[in-house]
Amino acid sequence: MPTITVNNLTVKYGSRTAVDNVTFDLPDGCVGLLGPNGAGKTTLIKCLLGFVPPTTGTGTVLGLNIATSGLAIRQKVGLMPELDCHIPGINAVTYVAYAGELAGMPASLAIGRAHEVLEYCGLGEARYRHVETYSTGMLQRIKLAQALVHGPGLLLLDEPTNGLDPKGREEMLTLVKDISHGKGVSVIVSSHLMQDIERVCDYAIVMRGGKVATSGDIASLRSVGGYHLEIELREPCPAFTEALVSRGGQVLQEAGSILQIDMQKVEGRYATLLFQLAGAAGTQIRGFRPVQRTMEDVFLAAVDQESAA
Amino acid sequence: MTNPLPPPVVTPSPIADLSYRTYTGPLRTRAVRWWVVALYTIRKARRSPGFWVLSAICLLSYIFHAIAFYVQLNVSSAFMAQSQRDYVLPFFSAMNGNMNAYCLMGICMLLGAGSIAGDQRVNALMVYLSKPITRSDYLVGKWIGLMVSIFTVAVVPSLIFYVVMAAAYSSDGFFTQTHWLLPQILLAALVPSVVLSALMTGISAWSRSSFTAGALFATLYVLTGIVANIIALAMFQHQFHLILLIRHASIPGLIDAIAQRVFNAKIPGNRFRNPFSHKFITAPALSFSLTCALVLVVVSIAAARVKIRAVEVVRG
Repeated sequence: MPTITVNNLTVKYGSRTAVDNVTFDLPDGCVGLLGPNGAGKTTLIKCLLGFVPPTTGTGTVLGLNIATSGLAIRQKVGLMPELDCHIPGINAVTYVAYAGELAGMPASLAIGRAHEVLEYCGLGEARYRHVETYSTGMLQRIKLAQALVHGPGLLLLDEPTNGLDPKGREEMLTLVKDISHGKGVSVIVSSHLMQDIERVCDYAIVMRGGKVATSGDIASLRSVGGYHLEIELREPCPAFTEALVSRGGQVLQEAGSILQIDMQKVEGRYATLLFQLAGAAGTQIRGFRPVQRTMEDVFLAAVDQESAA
Repeated sequence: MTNPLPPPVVTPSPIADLSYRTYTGPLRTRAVRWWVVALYTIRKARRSPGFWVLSAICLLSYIFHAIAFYVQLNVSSAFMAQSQRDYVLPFFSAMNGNMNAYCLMGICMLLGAGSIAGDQRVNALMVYLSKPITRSDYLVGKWIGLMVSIFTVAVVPSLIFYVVMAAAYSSDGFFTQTHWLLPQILLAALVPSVVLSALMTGISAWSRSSFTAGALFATLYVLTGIVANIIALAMFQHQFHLILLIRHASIPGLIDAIAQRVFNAKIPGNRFRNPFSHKFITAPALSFSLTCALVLVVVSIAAARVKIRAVEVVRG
């Protein structure tokens, strides 16, 4: 069963359409929700949590109707908001335990669970410090901890790496990747940072202007087709390049011993031919893979396509 | 030769297991989630030094009235003959005196001004409402938490005073005069708690600054009292029933009116230096005052509910 199903969903704020007739199913695992600011990502999350009612269309989260089961959805979902949101004057353990109690956990279990998730999120002994003394990275971690405390089946992370330095960002992404794989928790990461999505997600939805520009699993989105290859030679070899071009191959990019080539015009089994040409030129092929686009390329292509349409 | 000790059995502590485990424990029913918010507000009050200082000042007012009652009773036996002793009036005076009233107002400001305004300022509403609680759960929790804190400060000294008076004067007819004193004390403590906490919650919800909310509440409380008294004494000197009505047409006046009726207390008119000094200043009917208080509470809570949202929706 898909984690989230959305059919012809439209959300309007007065006359302004924030989400425009979108339809998609999101699988388990880690899903990236990509898009520039104002694309409708946060509105979509708010709608999925029942904060903003859909103007038209339907949707389900973990099998629960978004229009009628807001509370039941929030029982099963954890939200890490984009904005800083802490309760001043209390330490992290009290804060996270309080979040657990709000989700219905008995106080004695909530405090134990708070310690567990804060340890998991890497706050360690800092969990006894007052929240207002935390750095940005620690605040992001505590937001993640309060979202996890009641054991949600789905985690919605809105810009989880906002304001983090490279080390903090890497640690947060490692946490997100860990939680979303093999822990029974599906994760939706909303971000405008393509590298973050590329790093942790298995599936992505690209939004623009309230619409879904493209969607699919990351590997197929990044794939550019079977004829574009990247090969790595033992050392730079002009003889190999010349032989390849003479057989109809096209060298798109050459960086030392790494070549990006287009084999569309080559007749026959091009993989076998490549190895034959390398042998004849006296070199070795040490790497051979289809060329993949970055998520940035995917995003720009989807946006261009959407604009053209 | 001694046997070596067996190696210690090392059991991994749950906290040492840093991997993520999902929570599969019990969950409380959703109907009591508001109590979690209320309990947090009460715990927060307990941690505030200002709360304890103001509570101590409240208690002082009862000690003062207990001493005054004792002195009146013992120094001048002619002043208060056995048959004329009024055991209820000291409770009314202590609970409804200026000192007590301003302490309750201070506690309400201290605990309530930032209760919702503070959450809005730091975006904590998003955390609350992303959990399975409704706006009403949150609002009721905040309100009840504040109300319980104020009620405790209002009622505990009264009950201590009651116990002291009962112990001292049980043989002098204390219980024969005070059949309804305990319910009277509870009601007289409940009314300011409910009214002040509702009003403060309403104002706090409409502000993002604790200071602004507190200042507005204090201004409203003090100013309505002063203005009502000035209008009552200056403009309607020749219409006694209007004086009674206008004098109580304020937040402290309303609370005072209900307390007067609850304790059936009569205040001599000469306290106010007006043409009716020979009369007693009685309050408007209890049903009327309670209805006014109820309207104030409902309006305040409804106003607060309008402003409590998980997300700010700007309509284009």
